[in-house]
This record gives sequence, structure tokens and C-alpha cells, in this order.
Amino acid sequence: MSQSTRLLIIDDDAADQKLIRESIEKIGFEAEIILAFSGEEGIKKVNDLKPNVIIVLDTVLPGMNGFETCKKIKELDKDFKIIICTGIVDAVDAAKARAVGADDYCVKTADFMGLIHAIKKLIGV
Amino acid sequence: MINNKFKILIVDDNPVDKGLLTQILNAMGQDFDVKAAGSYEEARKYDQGIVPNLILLGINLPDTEGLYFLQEIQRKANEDIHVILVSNFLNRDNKLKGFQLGVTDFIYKPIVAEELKVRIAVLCRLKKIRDDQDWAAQKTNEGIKLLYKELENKNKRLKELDQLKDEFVNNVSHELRTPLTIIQESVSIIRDGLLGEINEKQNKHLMNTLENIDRLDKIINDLLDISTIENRKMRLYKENVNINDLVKKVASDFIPSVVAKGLELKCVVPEGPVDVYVDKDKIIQVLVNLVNNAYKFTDKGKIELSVIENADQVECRVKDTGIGISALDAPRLFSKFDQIGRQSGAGAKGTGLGLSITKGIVELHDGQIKVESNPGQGTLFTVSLPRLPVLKQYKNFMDCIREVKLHYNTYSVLVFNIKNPVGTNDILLDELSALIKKQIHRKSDQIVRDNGSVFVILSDTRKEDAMVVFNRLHHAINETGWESSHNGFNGFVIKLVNFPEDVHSETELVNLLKTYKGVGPT
Repeated sequence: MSQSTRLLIIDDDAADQKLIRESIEKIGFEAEIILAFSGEEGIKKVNDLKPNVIIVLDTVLPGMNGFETCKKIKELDKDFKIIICTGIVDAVDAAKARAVGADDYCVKTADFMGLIHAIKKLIGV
Repeated sequence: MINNKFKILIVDDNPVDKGLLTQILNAMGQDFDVKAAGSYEEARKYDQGIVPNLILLGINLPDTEGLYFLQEIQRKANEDIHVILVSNFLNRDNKLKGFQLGVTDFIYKPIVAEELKVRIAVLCRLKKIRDDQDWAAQKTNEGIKLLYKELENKNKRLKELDQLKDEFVNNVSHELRTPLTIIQESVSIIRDGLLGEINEKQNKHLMNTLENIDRLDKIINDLLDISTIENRKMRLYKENVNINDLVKKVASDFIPSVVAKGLELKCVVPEGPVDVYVDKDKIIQVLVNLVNNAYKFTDKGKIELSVIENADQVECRVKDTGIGISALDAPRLFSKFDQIGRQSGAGAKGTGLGLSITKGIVELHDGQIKVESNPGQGTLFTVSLPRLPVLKQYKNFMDCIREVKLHYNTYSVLVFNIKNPVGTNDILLDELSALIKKQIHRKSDQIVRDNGSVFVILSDTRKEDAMVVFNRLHHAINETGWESSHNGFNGFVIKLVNFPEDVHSETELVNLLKTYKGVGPT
């Protein structure tokens, strides 16, 4: 990957944002990280980040929820890569994520192993 | 969704139909992955790499080679492969046969493009639903696995921390004890006036110091107790005791303070002895804790101790008319460091460990403790202790006897019990065992300590021969002078039993042993 990957983290929890950043740095993965605290803010920022952006999306957000946000972003451009990363693992949620076109769905854990795995898969490592 | 195209394999030996099918599919404008084969052999080649989602099979049944091909496909597939037969004519039997072989659908030649499109569209939709479901299930599964792993890691870490904490408490308690003993000694020396006379004011302060040293000492003991219980390191020295004696002893110890507080103390026990197989000191600790608790939280009325005998267990009850415990607090009652109702005063000064130690000891005895209470009306604690069958109480001894019986037809047993047992039983029995060891030289003879007695098992020995050993040991004990060196020691009750002369079965033997305990002259 010659051009550096950018990661847009849409999560209203600053602590989670920090943990995600730290986990990604820990595995030695280099990415420019952009933060957004709501779906609306994320949608505003996403167009400037093309291409090579991976969007990490929480499900529970103030205002527009994660699934709606995912749908909106995919409507802007279906090539945006979106990982829905959630605090609760739930089959209905997973099916919803699939339905709104998310590229992957994973659960938040302390080491964010699921997320790291999903990012690696999306950039083809 | 990479490489998730709908894969279609056309198998038709008629080049016209094969071409037509390919054309229709391509014209549908969908993202199909279409392969066409003119023979089964060619189809098998395509089939090697990727399993198709749909096979359009142009055959005219009955066609043994075609049927064989169908079976082959169904066997190979670990996921659903749809098969649509494209055929000239099919009678009912052939159709049925086709369905039995897993055929999804039929289309007649000449091929109508619209019909084919509709059928394929349905199959595509089915596949998408299935794929979506699989995906969601897989993601959920991965998530659960990750969460489970995390839980396991956290659990492991917690266990490590818990162990560290236990070791810490244990070490600190031991370390605190030594300096505390030195402080206590020094303060006592000053207070007793051994270093010069002290005045009234100094005396008061020194008394206060000593009282608090006592309290600190008790706290350290409690901490040590709870850590030995939790580490499962607490050793029980079980023996047969009459629980009535223990209850009466505890009651009489408390009478002065209970009376001073203006309370009544009652003790109700059955008339005959109630034997339980327990560690005497530990059960006394349990009773003291419970009565002390009742004493602390009762300002008027009475405290009642009772023993109730059931078939398989013995219940000790401590009942008071104190402030009681609310139903809300009851579950926390036995947890560590929780002092319920402390705010309501009643002079509660403790570590908050008493009841959890009590519970720990009772459970080490395979017993149970429960509490019933009405706020403002009083509390009832019930400790249930199991009654062990006599055979189990002498387990070590009986194991040895069984071993001996395997090899010999006769054996004699010398049974040593302390006459009027007092506090230092364990030391005395240790010394006795050591003494006997020096006197017994045959390898096949064994010395066993069990249930507060010492046994010497003389295998293959008749009663008159055992008498010689009996006299020798009796003589050796008389020469020790233990009576003067051990306070309150009155000698041993020594009995001689021979199998088969005196007893004929294990039960007879054990029942005899019971009658020997601490009674009568030799």
C-alpha cells in the first residue's frame, strides 16, 4: 500500500477512540487517524478523505445511529470501506450491518483484535 | 463480497442449446460467472476448482450417464447446488426420479428466455439471503469467540490477583504479629511497675494501650484465619466430641458479661450425649463468634443456645432478641468486611470477618449455616453439622486394618486414649507415638493416629503374645513422668483387642472403640 491508509473513527466515546488508536499503533500499523463524534460529523468529513479510507463505525451514536450512517455513506459512494465495530455482539445487529452494506462487523474488545483483523482484511494484508 | 458471484455451469451436448443458454444468461446483465461444457467430461474439468451455484443440465431422461453425473455432484457438494434440468420431454416418473436426485427445477426445450430468467432470479435471491445469513452468523460467532477469550483472560488475571492478595494478607499478618508481641510485652512490663512505679494517669493510658493491642491482635488473628480458610490451608483435628459439652462451656464463659449487660442466657441441650466428629477448638470458635454477635447486638431480653439432634445432622442454634437484620442485609451477612447495622451502634467493634470465618469453619466441616431474622425482634443462627457414620470416623485406622486382614488371619490392637482429655491432646499423642515407635521393632506392626486415639496394630499376633507388648509399653509410659510435665494429664486408658477372639467384624471393632474413649481404668 503505497498511499497511506486513512482511518475515520466515528465514535462518540473518546475513550474508545483512544483505545482503537492505541491498538492500531501497537500492531505497528501506520495510518492517519481522523475522528468524528457523530454520524453527521463523519458524513461531512468522509468526502475529503477519498480514496484509501477505512471507516470504523460505532452502532450507538448521538443523532443518526451507526446503521443509518453506514447506509448514507454507502449512498455517497459504495466503494467506501466500512467496518461496524460494536460493544454488543448480536446476530440481529450483524444482519442489519450486512443489510446496510457494511464491509465487516466486529465486536469491541480490550485489544480490538476483531477490528484489527477486519482492517487487515480490507487493505489486503 | 469478493468472489461472491453467482456461478452457473451449463452442460449440454447440443451446441445450439448450449449457445442459446449462454446468450440468455449473458443478456440478463447480471454479474454471473458462466461456464459452458459440451460433455460431462468437460463439465467435470470446470467443476474441479469452484463449485457452481447452479447447473443447467441439458439431458433427456432416462440417461444413465446423466444420472450418474447428478449423483456425483450431490455427493461432492457441501453446500447446496441447484440443478435445473433442461429437457425435451419428461414423464411423471422421470420427473420424480429427478427430484429424488436433488434436481431443483425443470425447463422444457425449446427454451423460453423469460422463463429461464425468472427461475434464475429466484435462485439468485435465495442465495443472497443465505449468504447474508451466513455472514451475520459468522460475524456473531467470531465476536462471541473474541468476547469469550477476553473473559477468560480477565478471569485468569483476577484469579492471580486474588492469590496475590491472599499471600499478601497472610504475610503481612505474620509480619505484624512479631512486633506486636514485643510491644505487648514491653507495655505490660511497664504497667506492672517492674521498671519503677507508675501513677494513676499513666496506668490508665497503659491499660488503654494494652486493650487496643488486644484488639489489634484479634484483628490479625481474624485475618490469618480467613486467609487460611480461603487458601484451604486450615487443618482440622477432628475427633468425636459431645457437642453439648462445647455449647455448655461457651455459655458458661459468657454468663458473667451477659448478666452484667442485664440479659438472660439460656442453654437447652438434649439429655444424653450428642456426638459429632469435629475439630473441637474450631467449633468452639464458631459458637463464641455467634454468641458474641448476639451479645453485641442485643440490649434487652435473652440469648438462647440450643442443640437439636436429627437423624443425619446436629443443629446448634443461637437465638437472640436483639436488633435483628433486615432481609436486604441478610445476603451480605457472611461476606468479608461487611458490618451490617454498624451505624446503629450497639458497641460493634470488630473486623467484620467474624461471620465469614464462622461460615468458613462450618463449611470446612461439610456443615451449613443459615440465618433467620426479623428487624427489631431478634436473630436466629442455625449451624448444622453432619453426623458421620462411625466407620468413617476411623477411616485411617480401618484402612490399615483392612490391609492387615488381607494377609493375616489374626491380629491384635492396642488402643491408647488420654484419660480425661485436656487441651494439650495433640502434643501428648505425638509424644506417645514417638515413644511407641521406639518400642516396636517388627516391620509388619503399625502405629496409627486417628480420631484422638493412638492405635498399635500387631499383625499375626495372638492375644497372649500381645499382652507382652502391652506390658512393655505400659511400663515405658510409666517411666516418662508425663504426669508431672503435662498439666492435668492423668495417664492413658489402654485397651487390648484381638481378632477373632474379641471381635468378629469391622462394625464390632469400631463400636468397641467408641466405648473406650476417655472412660474407666485400664
